[in-house]
Amino acid sequence: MEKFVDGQKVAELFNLLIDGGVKFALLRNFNNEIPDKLSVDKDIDIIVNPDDLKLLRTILKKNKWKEVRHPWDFGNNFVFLYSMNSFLFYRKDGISLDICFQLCCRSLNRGEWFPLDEAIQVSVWENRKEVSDVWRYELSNEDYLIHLITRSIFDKKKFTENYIQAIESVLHFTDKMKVKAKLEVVFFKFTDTLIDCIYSKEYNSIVNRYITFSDY
Amino acid sequence: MSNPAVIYLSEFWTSKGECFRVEDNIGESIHLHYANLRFDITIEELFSLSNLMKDVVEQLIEVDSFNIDNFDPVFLKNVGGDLLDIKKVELHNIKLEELKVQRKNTLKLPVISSLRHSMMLRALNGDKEEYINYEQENPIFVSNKERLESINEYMSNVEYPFNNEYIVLFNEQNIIRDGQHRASVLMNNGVEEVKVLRVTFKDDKVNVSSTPYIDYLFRWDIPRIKNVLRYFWRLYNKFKTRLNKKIKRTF
Repeated sequence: MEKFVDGQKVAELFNLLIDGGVKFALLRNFNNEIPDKLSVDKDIDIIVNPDDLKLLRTILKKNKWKEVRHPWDFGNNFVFLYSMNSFLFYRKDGISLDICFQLCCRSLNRGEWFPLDEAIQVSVWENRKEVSDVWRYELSNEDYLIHLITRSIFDKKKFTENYIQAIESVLHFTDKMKVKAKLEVVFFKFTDTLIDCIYSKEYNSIVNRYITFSDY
Repeated sequence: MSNPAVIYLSEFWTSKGECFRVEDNIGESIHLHYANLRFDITIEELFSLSNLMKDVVEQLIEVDSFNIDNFDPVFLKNVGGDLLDIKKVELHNIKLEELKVQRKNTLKLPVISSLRHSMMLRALNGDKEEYINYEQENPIFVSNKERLESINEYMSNVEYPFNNEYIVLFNEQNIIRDGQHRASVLMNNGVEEVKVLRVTFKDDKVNVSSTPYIDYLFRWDIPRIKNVLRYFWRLYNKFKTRLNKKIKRTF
């Protein structure tokens, strides 16, 4: 039987961050698993403003959260470029907290972690949404869409069902021009093709079309 | 902003220690880096430049039978330093049984074996572990397993040689220098004899020792000496730490 983390403890974690004054946003919550249906095998992904890194560490340490090695850290594969902050991973009461400080993706070259354009990082904090759920803050629809697309293409190299559902849940609540402007600093001349593929639900062909794109 | 989709198409270091690199920045441009310089060009310009370079190489190599289209460009880059020493290029038939490959034995020592023992052929027959863990340059997002499967599938539908590219041998040696995948698939498909491209170099240059494990065991260059010293230094430090702990516990 699948074991879930204690929803009350999840709520306490978010309250801890809010009360401590840490500027954060929840990155993903597929199938509304947070707070009550989150499996012990899964983690909570949040983004924290890099200015609050020290504050975050102090608060978590004070509340007995244990910093552990990130599950993706196999030593030489865990490289962060362009002054990007490395991820942090904390555990307490069966809850795993995966923290990043920039919206990022893995480079296609050697898999190094790579922050998305500065304009997107600024937008994360300018446009984060306040919601009534226990996590209280999440990304704006446009930034969430950028996050889902870049993660699918660069990190997962495919669009999985969870990601497709999440993309479609926000796609029609986003400003197409704003999304385009943000995608352009990541995908350059491929942006129009990418947007067409997403609107026509041709998710399976995106990665292949991207790496074989030659109109530049 | 830098492009996250940068793919190194080709890279090499000159004898002066300067790097020449061709990068595909997907959706943006092709970057040619040489030392501290960078040129941005389009894909079309890259193809024009590539054709120009092909002409240059063909003119530099004054051997009538040399045809640049017979070679895989990645392979040509790897032997680039020796191209001017080519004396003769000829096509001839050879039995696949006579072909040999360079590989590592169970002791991880380099040996020359018959094609029958190549890891690609063994992988095609189900023994995939060594091949899957083997480090090689593959097309982007293609794993070793996928590469072998695609070559196998491709070769079932078209006839050898493909794009006029042959299995390449050097001098009088029957060791495959390029085309091990193709040779393995052909052998697996029951082919007995194939046409190969034999390239002869001046003074038998680029020959491979028939006993590479001896060369390996007795070749002591600076990086290898450094590695061994580093290993013993680590061993010494571990021993020292353990000894210190033991002394502390005792007293």
